[in-house]
Amino acid sequence: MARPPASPHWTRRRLLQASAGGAALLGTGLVPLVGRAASASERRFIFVFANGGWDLTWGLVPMFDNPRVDTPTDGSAPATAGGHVIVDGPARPALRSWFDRWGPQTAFLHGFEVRSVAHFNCRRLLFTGEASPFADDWPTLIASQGVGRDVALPHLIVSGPGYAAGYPDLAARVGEDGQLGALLDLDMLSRRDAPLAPMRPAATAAVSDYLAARAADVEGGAATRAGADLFAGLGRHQQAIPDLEAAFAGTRIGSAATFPDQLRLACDVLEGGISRCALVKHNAFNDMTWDSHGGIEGQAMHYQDLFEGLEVLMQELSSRPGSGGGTLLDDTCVVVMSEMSRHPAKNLTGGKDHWTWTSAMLAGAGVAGGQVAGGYDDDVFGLPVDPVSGMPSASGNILQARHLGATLLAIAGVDPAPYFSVDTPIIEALLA
Amino acid sequence: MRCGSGLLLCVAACASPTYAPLRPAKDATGSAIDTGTEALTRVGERPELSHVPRFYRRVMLDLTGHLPDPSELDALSADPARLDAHIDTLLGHPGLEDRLVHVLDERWHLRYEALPVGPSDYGFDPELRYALARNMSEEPLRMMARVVADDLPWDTIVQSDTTMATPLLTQVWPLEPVETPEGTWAPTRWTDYRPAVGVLASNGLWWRYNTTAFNYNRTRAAAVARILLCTDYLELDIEFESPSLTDAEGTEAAIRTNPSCTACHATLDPLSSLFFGFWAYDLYDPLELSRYHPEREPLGAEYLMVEPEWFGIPVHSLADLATVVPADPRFPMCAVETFATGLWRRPLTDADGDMQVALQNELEAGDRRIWPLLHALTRTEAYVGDLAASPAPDSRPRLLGPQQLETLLAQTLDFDWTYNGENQLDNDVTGLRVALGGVDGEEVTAPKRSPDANLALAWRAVSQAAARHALQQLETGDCALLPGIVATTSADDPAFEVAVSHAWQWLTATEPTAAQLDALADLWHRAGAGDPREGWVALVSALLQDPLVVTY
Repeated sequence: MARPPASPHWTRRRLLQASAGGAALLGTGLVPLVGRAASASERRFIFVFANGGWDLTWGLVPMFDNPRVDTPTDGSAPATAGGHVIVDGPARPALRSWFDRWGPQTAFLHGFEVRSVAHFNCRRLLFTGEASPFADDWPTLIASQGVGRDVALPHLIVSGPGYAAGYPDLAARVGEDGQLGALLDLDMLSRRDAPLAPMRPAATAAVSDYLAARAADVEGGAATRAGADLFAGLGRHQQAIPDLEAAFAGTRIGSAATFPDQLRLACDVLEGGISRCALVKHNAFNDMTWDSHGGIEGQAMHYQDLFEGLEVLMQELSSRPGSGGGTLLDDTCVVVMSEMSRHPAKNLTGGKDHWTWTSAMLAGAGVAGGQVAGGYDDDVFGLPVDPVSGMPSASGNILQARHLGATLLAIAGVDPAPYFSVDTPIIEALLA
Repeated sequence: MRCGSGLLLCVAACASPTYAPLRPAKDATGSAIDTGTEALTRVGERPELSHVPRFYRRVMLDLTGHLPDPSELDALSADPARLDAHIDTLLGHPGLEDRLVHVLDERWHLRYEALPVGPSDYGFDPELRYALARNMSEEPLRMMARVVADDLPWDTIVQSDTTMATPLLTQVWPLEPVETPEGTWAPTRWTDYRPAVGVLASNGLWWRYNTTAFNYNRTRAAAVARILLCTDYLELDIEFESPSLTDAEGTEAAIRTNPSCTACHATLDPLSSLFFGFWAYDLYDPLELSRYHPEREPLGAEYLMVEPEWFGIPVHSLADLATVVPADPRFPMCAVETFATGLWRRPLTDADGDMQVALQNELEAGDRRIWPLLHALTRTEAYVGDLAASPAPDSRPRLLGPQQLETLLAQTLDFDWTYNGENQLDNDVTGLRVALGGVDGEEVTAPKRSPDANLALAWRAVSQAAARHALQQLETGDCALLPGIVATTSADDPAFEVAVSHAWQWLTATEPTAAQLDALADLWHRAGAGDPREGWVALVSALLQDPLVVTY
């Protein structure tokens, strides 16, 4: 699907952020030294999902000079940090300090649309680019390729949404109550009104051996190739359980309840070679979610909480060993996004309702640090973007979530073309 | 209104239609429907089967969630020609309604966890969370499943004045009391004068597809299009021309005049305006949410500034949908798509077009009763799949879902798994529903079609738990899966082969070979290591994880 030329009246609209101002800060010594970078197909991904719809104008996209936008009145103001213009204020110091340190490794994609105002639709659209229930999300598609093929749980959903229809066997969930950990150590059997004891290890091993033989037997007798593949997969996953138990033995799988601990678990599984992708949900300060219909002021607390967690994440990634002598951060791309943003104007209760145009933040491996692609017009619509330069252009593409997806796939070394039925260029400006 | 038919559900559309039937002769994609020629096309004979009992097991699991009893399998093996007669008996099977709740939910996505209210809103014990959530979310699904089980026309789902409820539900929603044991469902009617439009007047539907104050029921209208017509507004390709939407007036003006907006809103808004009887001023007030508000019906025209329509057909009120929805040709087509997707265990593709037409003709020939459609689906190549004598190379078995596993364990071992009142095989808060391949209605909207690590781990845990439970039965010699066995019976005892053969046949619908029985005896010895009890636990656990049990 080719996009038509942009409407002429777009030309009167200003850019929100049109240039990459972060380049000047590169090499200042604030950025950790980079070791041998992983190849694209080796890169890991941590997705952080801000659940409920963030208000960009309270943190990541200052719009103080736009009279159509109800901007923060808590003493905050635009500030440049790490090459990015952000909203700095007394209730969210972590945001400023995070960009001071990690901004030069961070890029933005602004002004893409998720074409719904319902949370569940927007989540699906953000993660898959489609409304169809038969699409796979970006982490799963990435996990299906490259090093994802060689790991036990290619995409681990520590928390948050997951959509894996084509590759359901690649996405695993920790579960709201830590069910994955309880399945690994069989503590699950105690989570019963009348608790039951698991089998003895020797008996478990005997059953495992028996099932291996059965899977091979049934696979050999399958009527079709596809059937044989299914039985082989079943046997493979049954046989992989001991390795999985061993791989998780040193992780926080049984205790990751808080946002920072879940981010650490995500680091554990990437460092341990268990997963290529991991997803962690940020449910906002005190689990309030970012959905601020009843009052928008809480967004400052949510940003503070988010960036405190992201600081933990970046510290962990930059202090753990990577694959090529550098750090895990050299191998890992961090993607931070929310299913929607918030309406420019307050509603009658002082909150803000849903808005379909939003942004995503990328940091780390494969990302052109300091870059900003796209922007918003006076109506807080996304501007059409030239995919090569990332600059707004009247003849450019109006962005949707699929453009973010195509770009992430490209960072992962995956050819995006087969995954889109319509022309979906990657935003090359965001690629390192 | 009761129609006096003796059927459990009553159809309000005994009233004559207010408007001429909608027959625009265009489907959702704009291609012509030539009913004159397609009426000749019907679903043909079932492809020759490679294994009739195994196929019957598939049909039973799909339509009832249950396994065929060994005696049924024996009868079928003796006379395979009676397969369709056996299938026809399933219309009266007690598991049909339960199973269809889950099949339908794969499109309707109602059995979700995040309901707007919880037990504390009603002064109930927290352990009622699961029961309350499932009762509320299943209400419309139960109603539709009962329509199928009662062999009523599918049109009934938008025409009935009757829904289904449990006693618990009648305590919290405006429903007539039901005289039935707690946890079981019975037909009843709303007491708040809501229109007789079946599921379209259902709390369960509109709680799941709720609306914000500024969305004006558009989410609901889009949901109706998706689940009743298989037309998804979100999949329409629209070019935006960037009207100003930063103020309410600009937004409303754009919705009415901007071509980019009217592409959807021209039909979406007139439909949205019909649902204001379910408009709630407080989205967290149980009473406000629970009751229908007939006095708010006019708000649609006021807020949305459009007259109500069903895709261009003027209507007066929600009640008129009982007539215009069944008259929309997309409605029966979508019924076919819903049940075909449910039984084929995959989405439909363009290549299914001819078969879809044939199935729709089966539906129409059966007066839109779903049972003839379900029976016809079992005759399709896509359904027979890998169990055909000459299967297509890409066909393969299906994975049992959590509801089928739950039923299988209850049927063979009288086993269930609850934890603080939650069914662990049917919830995602503490349980294993999604891990076992189920859908959660929000994030996981399609069942697993391939095994994964979560699935293998969950089956291991469930099979070990069920095996431990089986051991408790064996202590008293009262295990239906292993008749004649007690906990101390040895694998060297002649009763072993008889009992294990029985279990194998029941669970897989196949006969075990001598080598397979020997392998199980070896497992019993090795795992038991001198302790027969542990041998039996291991054996039952292994049987339940067998590839022929996990698949169907």
